[in-house]
Amino acid sequence: MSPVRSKVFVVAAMLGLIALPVAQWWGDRAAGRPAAWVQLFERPPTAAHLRAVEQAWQEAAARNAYLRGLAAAPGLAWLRSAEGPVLTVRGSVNQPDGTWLFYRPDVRLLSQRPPAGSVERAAAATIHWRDQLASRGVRLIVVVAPNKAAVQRPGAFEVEEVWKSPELRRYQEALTANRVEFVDLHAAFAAAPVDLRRKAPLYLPRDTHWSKAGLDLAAAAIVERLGWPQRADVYRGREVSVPHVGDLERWLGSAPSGRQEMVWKVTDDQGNPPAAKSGGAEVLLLGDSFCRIFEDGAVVGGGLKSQLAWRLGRPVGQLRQDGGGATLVRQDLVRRPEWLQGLKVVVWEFAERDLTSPETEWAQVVLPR
Amino acid sequence: MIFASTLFLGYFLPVVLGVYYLLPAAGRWRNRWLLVASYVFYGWWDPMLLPLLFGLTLWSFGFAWLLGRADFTAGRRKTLLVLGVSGTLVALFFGKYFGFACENYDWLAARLGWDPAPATRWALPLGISFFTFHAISTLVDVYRRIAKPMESLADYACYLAFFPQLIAGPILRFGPIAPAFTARTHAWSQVASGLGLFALGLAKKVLIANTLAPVADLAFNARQLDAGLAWFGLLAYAMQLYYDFSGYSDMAVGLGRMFGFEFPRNFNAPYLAESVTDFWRRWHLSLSAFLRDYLYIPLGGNRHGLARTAANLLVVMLLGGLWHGAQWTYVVWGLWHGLLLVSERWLGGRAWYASLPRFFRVLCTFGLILIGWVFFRSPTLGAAFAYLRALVDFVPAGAAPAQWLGAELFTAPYVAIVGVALGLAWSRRRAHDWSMPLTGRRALLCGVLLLLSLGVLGAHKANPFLYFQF
Repeated sequence: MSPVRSKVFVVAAMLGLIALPVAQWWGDRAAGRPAAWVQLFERPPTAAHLRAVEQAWQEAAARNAYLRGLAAAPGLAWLRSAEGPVLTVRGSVNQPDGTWLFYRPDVRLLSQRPPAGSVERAAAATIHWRDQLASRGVRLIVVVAPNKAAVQRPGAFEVEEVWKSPELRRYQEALTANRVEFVDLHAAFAAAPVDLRRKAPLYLPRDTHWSKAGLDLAAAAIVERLGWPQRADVYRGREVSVPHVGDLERWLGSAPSGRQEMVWKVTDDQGNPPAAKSGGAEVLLLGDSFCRIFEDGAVVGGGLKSQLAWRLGRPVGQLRQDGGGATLVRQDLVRRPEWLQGLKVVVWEFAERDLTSPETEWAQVVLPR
Repeated sequence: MIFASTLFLGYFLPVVLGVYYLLPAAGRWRNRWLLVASYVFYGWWDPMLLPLLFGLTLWSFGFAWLLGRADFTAGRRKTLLVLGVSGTLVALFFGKYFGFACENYDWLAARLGWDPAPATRWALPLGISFFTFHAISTLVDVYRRIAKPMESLADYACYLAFFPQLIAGPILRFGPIAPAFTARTHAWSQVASGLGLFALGLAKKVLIANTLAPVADLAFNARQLDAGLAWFGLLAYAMQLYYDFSGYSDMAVGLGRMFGFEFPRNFNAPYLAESVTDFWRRWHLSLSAFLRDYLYIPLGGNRHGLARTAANLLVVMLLGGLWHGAQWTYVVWGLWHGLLLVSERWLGGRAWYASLPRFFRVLCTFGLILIGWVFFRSPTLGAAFAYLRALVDFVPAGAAPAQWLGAELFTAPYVAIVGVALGLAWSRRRAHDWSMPLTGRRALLCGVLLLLSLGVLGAHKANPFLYFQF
């Protein structure tokens, strides 16, 4: 290459690189943010400060219009699709387009070795929580919502056994040894006839959570453990079809599939969903988004709380923290002691991922005296 | 700061290169600027590490100056060499191996009822394996009178801290590179060629190695594997390691060219090797040459019979393994290669499969190298042996963990990238030669690769180079 062409190449490449901070500065200015490089001089240059600056710059780069434009180049999106938060799997007999969506971190909790020590922390927090409630005369029933990937599998989703991780087994053994009541939903789901599971999968194809069929089984198993008489004549229940956009579908950002899902909708005589006021419920459901599904937004009265109320013939209270079933929801109860009045049973649900996810906190929560 | 980051590419490189060429070529202004830039580059990791780098610079500069004096006797020079090298090795030992030594002492002490070692531990100072080797190279080359010691401390500090090679090489021999710190030429074609090679290296790292990293990570941390998954994960790791490290080396050599230096080539299509001996003439060449010239030959090399040669090879490869990391897995990796080299030496410098057609020779060698990579990648020896067992477990694992791992790994992008990486690794094209001289079309391709890499970097968090941990 001639010296002139070499010079052109070098200058063009350098301009391509310099465009990065220039676009960054331009974007920051337009958004009214201080320029990224200013952060560097805000504190003495310790290793911690330099890492923080680097992190902030990297996050700023993700907003950089210039880089985002480059990232949209043909092929790169396809290359990165293998790393997105949603895993697409084909092969189900129950989907018109044969596509099921899974939350990738959940799948990885199943396929990867977990960090050591998380189960022990979870068991210790659970036993402590049982003791706290027992001192108030309240019974605790622990429910672990199975990971969707442990129930619905690639290939023949509906006919495989439900996979129970060694960590969950260890957790269950620790609870049994300490006489903590536990509802084994993995066993309940595995015991469901294969024909039934093939017709009606236990999880929603485009959502992280369980379907009506899964909710049915979960509610039945909880009520069986509770041992109270069932009264299906107090509330009305009927099967309805409702439009539902799955959380994974939303995350994927694709056009909604317009799916309808079947829901067992529970109402009282006035047509309202069963509701419990604080201080009035004997049963309180603590949980995460597995308690939110079909109890929020457009569809109310079809979730776990309503299923339990319908079977028990009495209102069930609920406190819920999406993604915070392990600790946040228990702390929520501490902040709302009125729920403890007249309370006999706490059904505490959290997602299986909380047992092994390194991001989950397992705090020992103390109830107010 | 890593090369494959928006910080380096968008801020550091344009500023350093721009100011460098604005400074007068006469005098040492440019060296001083490179020194400042290199200390900023290194201090960016942790400014507290700068005294270590500077201390080692003073130490080796002082001993090199003494070794360069003509009036010292041979005995005194040898004493000075031993002292200088020992001091450097002490820094390397405490920086890199103290924790490992304490762990092993604690293991032994627990069984013998002794007190455990003091709990003092510290993080590995980045690049210490490389800049200590550069210091040793200085002392030995001056001792052997291959080169004269540098007169200027600033120039010498620039050699030891020069940012393109500071963190992960290539390992520069003092003798050949020292003259470039006093006089070197600059040309636009050279800068363009360096930039082209840098872009190729960046693409290797960002588009191939980083894409393959999750595959290797998922396979080596899997609950359950069968042969299909294990081989795919291992292939992905072999490609990740090669493209990561050779990509870094290409970037380092490219940066060197941009500033008027010509660094030695570090890779020469290693997965085309036809024997393990041949592999070590193609993989991490600067380390192989360093170990050969500064360890194997001083130990006696192959001049004292087969038994002594075998012992020397084993010692060199064991230490080479340990150089990569203070873990038993690296020791076993080094031992594995040492035994393979000894076996080939035993057979007169030929592999046992030397009579096969070339394709099968390459395949057999690749298989042996892959087995070594299992030890290189595994966190413990137990995990390495479990992985090796999975490689021959041809019954498909039916349980959910393996099924899900398969669903994640055997996707079109991963299979395609492994295929492309393998195809390129087995082709005869070498980035080092391809970029010199750089034609117009090649420059265009490099420019496109540079922009694509920037796009990926913007979308992802920075991913450190594998060889930084060594």
